[in-house]
Amino acid sequence: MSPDEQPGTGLWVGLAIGAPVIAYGTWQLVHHSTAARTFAVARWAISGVLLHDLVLVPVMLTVVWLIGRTIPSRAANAVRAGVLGTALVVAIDWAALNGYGDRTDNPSIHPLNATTATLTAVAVVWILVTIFWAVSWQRSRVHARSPLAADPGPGRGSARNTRTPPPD
Amino acid sequence: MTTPTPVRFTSRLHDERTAAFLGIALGASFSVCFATGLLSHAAQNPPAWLEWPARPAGLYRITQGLHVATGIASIPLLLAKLWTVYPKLLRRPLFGSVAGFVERVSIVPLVAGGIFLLFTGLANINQWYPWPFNFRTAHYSVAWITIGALIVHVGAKWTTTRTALSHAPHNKLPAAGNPIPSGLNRRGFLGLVAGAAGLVTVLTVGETVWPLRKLALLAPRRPDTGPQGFPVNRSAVAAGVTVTARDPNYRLVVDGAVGRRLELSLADLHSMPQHEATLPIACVEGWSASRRWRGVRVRDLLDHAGAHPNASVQVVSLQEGSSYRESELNPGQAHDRDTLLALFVNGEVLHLDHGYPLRLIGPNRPGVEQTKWVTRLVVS
Repeated sequence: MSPDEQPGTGLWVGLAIGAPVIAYGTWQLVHHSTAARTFAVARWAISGVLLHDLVLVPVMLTVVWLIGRTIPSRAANAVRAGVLGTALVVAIDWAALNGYGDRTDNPSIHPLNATTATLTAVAVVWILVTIFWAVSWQRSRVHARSPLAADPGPGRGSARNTRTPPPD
Repeated sequence: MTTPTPVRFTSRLHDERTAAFLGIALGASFSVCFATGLLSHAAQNPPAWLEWPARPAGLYRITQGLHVATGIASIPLLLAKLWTVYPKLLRRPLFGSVAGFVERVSIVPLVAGGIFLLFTGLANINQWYPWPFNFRTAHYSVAWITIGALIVHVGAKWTTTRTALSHAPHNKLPAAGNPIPSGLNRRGFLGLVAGAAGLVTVLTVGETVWPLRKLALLAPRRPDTGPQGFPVNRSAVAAGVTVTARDPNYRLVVDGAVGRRLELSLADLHSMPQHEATLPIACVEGWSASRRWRGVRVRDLLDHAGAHPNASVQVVSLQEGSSYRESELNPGQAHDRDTLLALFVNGEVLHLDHGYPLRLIGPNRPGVEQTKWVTRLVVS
């Protein structure tokens, strides 16, 4: 942690207010649960972080990197957005897709065909991504053909502004 | 393959300014979620000093709809925020100072709590419970822990965030004639995240916003689908009342602190003055549906039984072994003109899954408190 990233006095103010709130929540959990259930909550909470940090993010980084390597650069961002949007839709509809929570005596839970609903939502994602990609690509072409191209003007068109950010 | 380090994450998508914008959005959505969650908890478990109001009639519908909608919108916000600050996970040295240690430790309950709340909340609206603990207790307790950790984090990042937002961004448009960079810039990334949050909201909020119901592709419920055209949380089969609710000897008993104990058959209830009210069933899982109910006013029954004008009422269901077998009506709720023991919905006799022969319906109450298959009122 570099010196300029060190938290200031705000941390101690936040801690003075936040710590009692954390303590109250912990007391609520311990007071209203058995020890086994309290540990189960802690286990699930920590497992969520580990799953995110050690599995989801590395997978996501790899997918994003692979897209950058395999898809032409002008379309790579659109594909990344589409893939991440698809993953989000599938994650939100995961329970319905797997029939979790379904009951034969209560068809009002997950009333839609989950596969059809998810595919429709994914199609919406890709349509929106395609529209935005087409608009920005068109804007880019118009920008490149501008008559001002030969004269970027003072302070404009520097190397910094035209540099392509790395795809991480 | 080399181990990733912060130095390798050189994109602006991982800078303090991006993190600040996402942090503000996430802080706002978590705060709304927390506040509306507290209201829901208070409606179901009112503290001694609070008499949960019967009006406005649709308040709970709005607050709980907002709770679930902001929770779902928080999913892409949280994932984007964690993505943005991910390089800090790999930063060395880990702490650097006592303050650095405290700050990093406080992030553990914040991240763990945030992921836990969103996952358990999402599973709950799908009525999926793959864990061995009580959802309500765990969700409520962890919400306090997470908000406490959020307060610590806001304090720790206050100066950094202000500094990051007070400087002009560096991502100006390139000069005319030069190509727009193909890598995703900050504005594009934030737009993408906002778009994702907006899209998942539009695709789910129709479970409570009637005009958007046809768009609710990702919502576990549709407000127009179920017996008599609206959803059910707990069916008669699940509650084990399919026989007792149809028993021709069914009686509603009104007892407790009353001048005259009542025991009323269905015919007796039908012969009493009937009243109508348009009220929503607003479920804690976020769906809601407004319907026209007809039945007997609870206050008429209390008057008939000679109960005190400030009486509270315990409403008891035929179902056994459920934590929602009973619900409470405080004096304001019990004497509200629209608090009914409903016999009909939208002009039809109640479906068994909607509480036939008799269900409670009252303004500004969570759905789980609108007790179905009512068999007894205990006045106190």
